[in-house]
Amino acid sequence: MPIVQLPDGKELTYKNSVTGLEIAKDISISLSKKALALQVNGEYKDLDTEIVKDSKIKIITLEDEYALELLRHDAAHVCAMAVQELFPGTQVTIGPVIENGFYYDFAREEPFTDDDLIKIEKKMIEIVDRNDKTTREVWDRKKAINHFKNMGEHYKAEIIDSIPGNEDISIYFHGSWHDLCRGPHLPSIGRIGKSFKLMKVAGAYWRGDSNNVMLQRIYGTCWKTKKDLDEYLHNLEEAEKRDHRKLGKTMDLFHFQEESPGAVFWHQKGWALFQTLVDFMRQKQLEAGYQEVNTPEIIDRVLWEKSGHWEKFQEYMYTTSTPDERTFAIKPMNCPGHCQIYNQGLKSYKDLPLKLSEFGKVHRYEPSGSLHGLMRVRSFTQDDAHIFCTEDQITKESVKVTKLILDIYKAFGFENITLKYADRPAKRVGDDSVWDQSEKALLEAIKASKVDYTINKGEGAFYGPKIEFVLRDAIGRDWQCGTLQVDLNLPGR
Amino acid sequence: MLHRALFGSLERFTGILIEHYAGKLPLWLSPVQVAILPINDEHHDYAKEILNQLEKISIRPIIDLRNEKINYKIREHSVGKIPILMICGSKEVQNKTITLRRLGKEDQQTESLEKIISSLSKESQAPKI
Repeated sequence: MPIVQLPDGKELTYKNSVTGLEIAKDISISLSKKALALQVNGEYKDLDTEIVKDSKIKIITLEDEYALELLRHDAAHVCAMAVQELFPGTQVTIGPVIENGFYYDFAREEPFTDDDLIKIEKKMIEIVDRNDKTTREVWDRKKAINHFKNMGEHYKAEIIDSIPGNEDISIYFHGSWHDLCRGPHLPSIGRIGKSFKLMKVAGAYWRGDSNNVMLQRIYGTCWKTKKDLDEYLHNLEEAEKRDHRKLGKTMDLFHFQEESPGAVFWHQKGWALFQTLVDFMRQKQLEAGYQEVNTPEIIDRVLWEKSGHWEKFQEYMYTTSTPDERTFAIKPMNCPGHCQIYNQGLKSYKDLPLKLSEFGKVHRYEPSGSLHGLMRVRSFTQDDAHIFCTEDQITKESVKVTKLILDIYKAFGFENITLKYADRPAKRVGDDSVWDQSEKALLEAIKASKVDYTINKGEGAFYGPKIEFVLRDAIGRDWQCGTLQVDLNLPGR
Repeated sequence: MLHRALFGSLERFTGILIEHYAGKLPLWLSPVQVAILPINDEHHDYAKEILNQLEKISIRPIIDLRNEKINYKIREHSVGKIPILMICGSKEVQNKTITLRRLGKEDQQTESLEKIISSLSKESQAPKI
């Protein structure tokens, strides 16, 4: 006799087990028509899942955010169905949901052409129109492996083999086509709608291992409505038109070279722009009582070990070998350098707050695959500053910094800002009272700013809570630029 | 201790600015703020005088003395996203005026050199906060 609790607290009692769809019908016929899936005690499941025990239930419709993930996941299946109908012999491998869409990796001798993508998309529409019902079966592991091997789907067989022993082998059928999948899925394949588009084909190694076969990855995007799809495509087009690497060339601002990956060759015009930013910041910081300093780029490994960077950051650090056999590292961060300046000469509380700023160039050995124009580089200049203050001053200084950041973003034409606040993680240094004080200070700064914010619980650094400043650009993309981080750890070291 | 950064990475922020404005940066940020375009070599002397005056008020100008048609110069410097083009021909030399074109706008305005220098001096300032 399961008792089902709905999101509004209302309870429905059933004599026997009941499916999600039946519950939806009992709530309202219109809800049952809109129902796409079920949330059971926080977990997402198919709509026709049987509820046998007392549970908390939510009926998922297009209005839920999760619906987008469902649409995209089903769209990936539809893409695979279309490919196999058009190109028999193609093996399927994996098709996950990604940001803004999905992809599916296929094993096929002949490469997919742009024409093929058009054909596949057309076929996907046909399949959506067929609206096959979706059903789920749980199979025995050996049976599943043999079945897919006999079909010629060797990748599926391999995936099944590596599924942990205690997990169900879940198979979804859309009509006669079926795939290994954890689910959940929409009640029928037509429910994905037609607001999708195949974007491109790229190569991808099986299991991401460059020693393996190269598969073909078809990327697609999928949305709830045509309006959303059109807006996405429009934004993509806009982004391409204003790609800074393209403009960097036409405006003669900078270039990159293979001899120094991720490091900018600034041309005169680009450097003039860069220096205008620096000059502006420099002036505003001077007005706000900062002292600008400059610290060495090459520092002995011993210092990095003391600061903890050696332990945590080593793989990103450039090291040097010199004839005197000392190991030096090129700074990936400016903090330890600033602390050395602070530690010179006896400081009394009357010197505080002491604000040291630096336009410090840092170097981090990022993987070459992640480098992207000016956005992701290996050598960059931080507008870094450290405010040494007493515990009592943290609130006032936090409020000041927050205001400064928001005012400066406004000066540059960014009015749409959101804040991300991250508080104490499980693993941390410092006692609770200091964390209490620091978190209170940051929250006060946030409230004083009157800007929208989200809380990322437990996502703070091990040495302190932080605020991240995210600005939204002219085509709706978010960029996290500013940070205000409380550091309860470093001065002690 | 508080640790803060505003831009995070100046290089990345530059990239963000370029894309946010699609290259049409506000005047105070533009690497080149004004392109002075004399129509032919009779107007070079006057053009150089304009250059001088702009440099005196800390504007970042360039002067295009090439023997090219004016429309060609206008197109090239528009592609280069220069916010203000100052065209000078015989009329401008005679009346000590400048014909001004702004990036992205079709229309032109003709004003006295003195008035333009004065208003540009204010317009090109970095925003106050």
